[in-house]
Amino acid sequence: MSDVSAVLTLPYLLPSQAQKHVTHNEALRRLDVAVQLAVIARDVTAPPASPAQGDRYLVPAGASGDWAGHADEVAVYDLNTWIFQAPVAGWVARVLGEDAQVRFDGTAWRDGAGALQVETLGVNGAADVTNRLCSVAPATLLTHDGAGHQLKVNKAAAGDTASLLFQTGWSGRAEMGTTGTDDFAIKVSADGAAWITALGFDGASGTVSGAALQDSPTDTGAGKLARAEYAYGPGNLLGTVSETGGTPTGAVLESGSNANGHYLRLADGTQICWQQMTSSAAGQTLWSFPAGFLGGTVPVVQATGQVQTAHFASVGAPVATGVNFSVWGLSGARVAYATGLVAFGRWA
Amino acid sequence: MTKLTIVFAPVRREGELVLERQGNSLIANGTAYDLAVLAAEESDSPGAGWVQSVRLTEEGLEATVLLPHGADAPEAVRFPQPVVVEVDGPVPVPG
Repeated sequence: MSDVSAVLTLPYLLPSQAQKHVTHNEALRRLDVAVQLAVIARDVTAPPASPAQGDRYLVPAGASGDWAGHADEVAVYDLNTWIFQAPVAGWVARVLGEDAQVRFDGTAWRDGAGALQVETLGVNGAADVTNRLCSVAPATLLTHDGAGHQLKVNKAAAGDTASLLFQTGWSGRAEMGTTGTDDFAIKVSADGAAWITALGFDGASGTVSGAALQDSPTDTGAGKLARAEYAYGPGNLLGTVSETGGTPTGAVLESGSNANGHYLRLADGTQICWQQMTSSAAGQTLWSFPAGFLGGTVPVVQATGQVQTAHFASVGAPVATGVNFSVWGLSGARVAYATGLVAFGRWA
Repeated sequence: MTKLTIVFAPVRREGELVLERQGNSLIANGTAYDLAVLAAEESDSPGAGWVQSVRLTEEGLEATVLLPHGADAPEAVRFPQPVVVEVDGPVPVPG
């Protein structure tokens, strides 16, 4: 049998031993150090000049004086001298100067408790079986360990909910996540009871729906987001105009040209045609409009001879598809002049 | 048979033109237009139907007929060539 205990190396009393108190007190002194270990500091390198009996320190590397050569050991001032106790892997100590816990891993003293698994954890508050991790604080920090940082919220199946819930006085006001489906949604509530999906993102296509979005081409509700297929932009401003009951169903502007000239159609139903052509001296000249006006309506037509010579130009009664025009000299006879023609009217 | 020159007047509007000649008549989309009557007419306004005007020329008759096309019609439709028709039957239309 060894003379000392296996773990704390406490000296055993031997049979018929003299001076038993010496051996016994040596064992008690070791226990006095190790039990409920709390040290004053772990960063003092020079032994304090006037320590009190029982003062304990963790000796840091590079210590001097009486502590030299005792790095990582526990120094205890006892009976007016420093005695040293080497720690065993697994020892835990409280550093009073920092109000922090450290542990000895067999090589060095480490910060904190190491791997820790608990049923519930309340930080400055009580956790419960539902909210097993509870933090009562002005802020909760989750930061990186060298690069990025992800906060993961995992659920078991598509029909379950993985979300962040925002509450006011424990009543829900907003929620974002995959609630009851794998599509991502942002929901809001004015009272915690009735919920509105403000924005929902289709998990397969990534496209958006919800109350925050324009719900029809004519929806111009305040504060709503425009949908690409309902709003006008570079992709659909120009094209083929069309309408149903006065509501545009196509582009805003349509322009084109053909052998009869140029035209511009506007989404509101207005149409402008223009052309340059030469009048005939033999009779009236037909201008077929490059774009038809609405059947039953007639456009307003303007004709101007494009010369400086004294003349006047006239047009006959237009129809929806064309107009006859003439240019006259002051003698009263038709003349052949380059003529500018403009017609304003409606296509719808 | 009188030589008939058809001048197409391209116009951006909905619809399609089906044209046929029968003697001195042009049938446009089912409506018959008597070319002799129209040529003799002295009107201030163009015709409101598919045939806008008809006039006598040294070679025969010349009719201006509307040729409807869409917003994205090809060049050959927007700037069509006239066709000369000297037989009865369907008339080929550009496009």
